[in-house]
Amino acid sequence: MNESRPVIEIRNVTKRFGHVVAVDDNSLTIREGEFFALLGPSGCGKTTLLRMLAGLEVPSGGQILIDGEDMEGVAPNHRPINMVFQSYAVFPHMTVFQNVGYGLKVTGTPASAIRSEVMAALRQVQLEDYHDRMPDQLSGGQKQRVALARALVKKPKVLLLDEPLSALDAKLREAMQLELVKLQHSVGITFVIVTHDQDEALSMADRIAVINNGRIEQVAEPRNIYEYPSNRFVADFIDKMNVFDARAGDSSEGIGIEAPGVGTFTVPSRTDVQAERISAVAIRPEKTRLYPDRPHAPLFSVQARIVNIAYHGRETAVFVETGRGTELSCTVQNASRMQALPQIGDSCWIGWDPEDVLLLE
Amino acid sequence: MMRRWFAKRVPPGPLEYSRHGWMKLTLGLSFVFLYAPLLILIVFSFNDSRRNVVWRGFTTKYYEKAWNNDGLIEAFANSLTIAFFSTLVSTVLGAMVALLLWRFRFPLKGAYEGAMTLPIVIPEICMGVAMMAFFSRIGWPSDLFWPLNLGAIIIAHISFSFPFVAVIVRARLANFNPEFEEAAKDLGASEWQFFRDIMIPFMKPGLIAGALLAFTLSLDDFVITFFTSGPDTVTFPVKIYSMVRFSVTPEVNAASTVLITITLVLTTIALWLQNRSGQRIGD
Repeated sequence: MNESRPVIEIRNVTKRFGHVVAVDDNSLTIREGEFFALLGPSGCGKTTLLRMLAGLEVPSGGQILIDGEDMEGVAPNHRPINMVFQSYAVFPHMTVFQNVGYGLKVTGTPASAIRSEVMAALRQVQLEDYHDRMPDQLSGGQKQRVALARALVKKPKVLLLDEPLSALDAKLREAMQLELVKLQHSVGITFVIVTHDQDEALSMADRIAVINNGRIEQVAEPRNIYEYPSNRFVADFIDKMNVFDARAGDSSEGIGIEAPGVGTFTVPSRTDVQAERISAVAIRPEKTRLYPDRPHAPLFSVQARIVNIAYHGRETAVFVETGRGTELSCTVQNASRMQALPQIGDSCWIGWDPEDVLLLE
Repeated sequence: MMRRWFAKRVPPGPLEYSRHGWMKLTLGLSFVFLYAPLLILIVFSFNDSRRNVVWRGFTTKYYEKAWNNDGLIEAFANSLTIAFFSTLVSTVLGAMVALLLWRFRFPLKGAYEGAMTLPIVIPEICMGVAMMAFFSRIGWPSDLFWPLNLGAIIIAHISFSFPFVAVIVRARLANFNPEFEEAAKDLGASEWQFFRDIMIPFMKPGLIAGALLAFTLSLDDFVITFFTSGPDTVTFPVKIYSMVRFSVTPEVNAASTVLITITLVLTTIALWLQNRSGQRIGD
């Protein structure tokens, strides 16, 4: 997939609304056949970026190329792109069939061709039996399938999805995540999805762009986004993270870390970071462990006291405070019913493998 | 037996208004004052008596008499013609105003919106006098042939009807999801295709309700019509008024009953149409 050619090229695109900069000088390439996610907190500019691809917003600066063609001045109805809207925007006065066929009808496709193509699209989303229903007779999930079929029937170069799963309940959302990925594989169209839900992005996308304050912070595969966030924002935004201030310096065994609230330890040297520029280090809660007694090296460990416990069923989040006043969290998998739960006030050791520590500038 | 005894013991809940005596009384009285006069009017249109006071037996001769009253029929035809044109124009105009106010932002929009709805609040008598003064000032000819002689009245009726249409359609548009427009354009629709396929079907319930209101407003308007009609143009309400000035005969009742029937039939048709499209539109 890495070798496939770019289908969307965003070059130094900026969007200003009055004095507010919604999208700030971003460049990004999305490749053909990719499932790409724009991930960020609400108001970060990810939807604005998507709407600029659809032609619903005009960039204040920069260039957007779709399939090699400059999209400047090209109206939404003339772009080789279709969109699934957050509200689905299924036309309420048309049947499912009419909704799905609308995009073909307005561009002058003959009725006989519309019929077969609409039914094929409805088959793809498993809604064939609903073709003569009115939208108010459909559930939220079914409306979304109509919106999907309506966009896919146009055979776009790129399908844009604006928070497609946010209105669905948790169970349905999980099922739809898998189904969207399956659908994308079968139709082979590039999908660009906007979401604020990192779990959604991590589980579905081939690549993710994490956006904050109108700027793309990192573009990478899900695993790299999670395991190797490139900066403090990404580290903190994606799932839970223990971040603490630290100073670092080169030593003979690697990079020596001195974290005032935690302790000192050494991590293997890396070529991508300069020790002097490190201002903080981070460790994922599930990569830390609790011990009743001091564990042996090579683990780093520090003595702590349990200050809070949040039971989540599948796992328990345990919050501890080190002797020097830094709060850390540790996720304990509830792998067995017989497992003893820690108690607030217990003293313990929290430890981790220095290999798992992230170095942040 | 047991259940009835039990039911009697339960005091009315805070929202069970229909179980309060005073509420039932208010409801009953409202119905009496609303519908008794209408019923009496209809019943006495069949009264076999010149004076409309005592019941003297059933007859339909006053309907015949009304039918043969050329002045009355002419007034009736005038009223329907005026109402037809006034409804047509004020529905289109009102819908356009509503779209303008919904879609665009422009300087002094608030002032425009307020000024546009003025005819709704201005006393009819002032409006009538103003219309009369206006038409005489610009020298509007009063001796044109039918139906051009109704022009002044039609213009006056449009000017007070279209704000009602605009207000109704505007309320309907408030629920329009802007993503419908974006979706239509995204699917390849041009501005006109979007307007024809998405916008008009969405506005339809509002358009029907607005047209219905404009029609009835025009059909029974007396004050403004009175001031704007020329010496030879008489509308139905004005004609009835002049007949009543001599005496209230069952002929007046008969003519009024016909008008009520027409209004009811049209309202029923409009409501039925609206209901049908309302179901299709999904609310």
